Amino acid sequence: MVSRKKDTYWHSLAKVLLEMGLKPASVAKCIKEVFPLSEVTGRHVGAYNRRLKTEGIATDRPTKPTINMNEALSISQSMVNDEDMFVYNSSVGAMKRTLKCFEMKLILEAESSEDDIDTWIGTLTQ
Amino acid sequence: MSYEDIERGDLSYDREPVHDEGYTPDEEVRRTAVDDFMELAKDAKVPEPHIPTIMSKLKGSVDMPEEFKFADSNTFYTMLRNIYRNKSILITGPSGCGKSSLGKILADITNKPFYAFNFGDTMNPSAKILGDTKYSSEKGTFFKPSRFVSALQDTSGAFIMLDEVTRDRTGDLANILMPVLDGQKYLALDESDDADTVQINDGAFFYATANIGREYLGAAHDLDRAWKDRFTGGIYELEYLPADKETELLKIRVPSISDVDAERITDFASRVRNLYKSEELNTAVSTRMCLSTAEYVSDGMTMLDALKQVCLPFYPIQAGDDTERVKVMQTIQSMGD
Repeated sequence: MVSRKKDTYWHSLAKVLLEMGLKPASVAKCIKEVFPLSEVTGRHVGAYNRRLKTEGIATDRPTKPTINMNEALSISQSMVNDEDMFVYNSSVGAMKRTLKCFEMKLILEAESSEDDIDTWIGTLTQ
Repeated sequence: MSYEDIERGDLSYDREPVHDEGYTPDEEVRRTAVDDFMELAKDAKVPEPHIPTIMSKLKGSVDMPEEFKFADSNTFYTMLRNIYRNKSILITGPSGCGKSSLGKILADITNKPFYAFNFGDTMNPSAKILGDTKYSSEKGTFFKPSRFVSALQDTSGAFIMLDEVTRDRTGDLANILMPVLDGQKYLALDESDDADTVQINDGAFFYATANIGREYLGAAHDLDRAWKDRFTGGIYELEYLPADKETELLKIRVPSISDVDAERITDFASRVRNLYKSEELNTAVSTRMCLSTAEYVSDGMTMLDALKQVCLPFYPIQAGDDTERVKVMQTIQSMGD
């Protein structure tokens, strides 16, 4: 079976930073700076780096970084386009929604509404 | 020598020299492994570079909420794509299948300010869309723009839900909204030549819902072709959720309901929907009705009583044994205790 590779909102930023010779862990830090709620780690970026090599996209990488970490952090924000930001926001929105459903279910299970019902019935009998 | 041998770096040549057409024996050239490789490479297909798209990124990054888990998984992602591209969409489907709920969920996920306008509760179309004149002792008579105008100008890019657009029987709302929905993207506040116009924020997105069908008596039976054309993101025809997804939804929304009861409610809904499809009934059991039944059962009513309470009023009483109500009653009774 042919494996289908996923695309995500942080890939284009990671690709540029990797091409500048940054290590995956440093790239992950830059990604976290731009997408603070992202769950991307150095391992994810490392895997993406290997994928770029396999696909023949990553060639002629500099052995030493051509920019330092501070520069990378400062330019990362400007390198993200509207499309990636929209995908990131939607991803966070969907995650929050799942959490909200889960939280609501927990609250409903934990809090019995019987007290409220008894109080309400009490007002009727007065 | 095969392509694989060359890829492995095995360039040993153990074949007789080949005479191509056009070579005379005097000009005989001994072909090398590199020539073979170049010939193979010429015919080999170069894999096209993978270019990420908005759809592939959405599919790779955004988890689909439970409510969207229809048979077609593309629905959710294409709707998100349309929101990003500001392509208005129209959702049609039977009453109570979740069209309006999906709008709210999409606005939540995309973190856009949500504004809902129901066409069914309109008393004065121009006041609803444009605004109205008011009086105050300090200012005298003044024009107060409508909530719709505020939504159009929302700088965060509003998610504007036009709910039940088929309830606009006069067509006035649709006509006022034509330039809003098409490429002109403006709203004129009156009909004079120098009328003030409201420019629509680039991020504003329109999500319209409609019930189309003869059973919706207060609604138009179809939408104007030109109006439909404005929904460049497309028209989505929703159906009721599949039984297993509907059961999951009941358990999420009514956590105290048991698995067995949730399954029995959706089983009943499926049976009635089959009768509707075979045109034995004029209307089906909606997801909203299923939720209502689940709430009754959760509050202590028996399943049969809850189904009778919620569903029977939707089916008319007529003389004879073959009425819709009798058929639904028989379906309820066949469920046992």
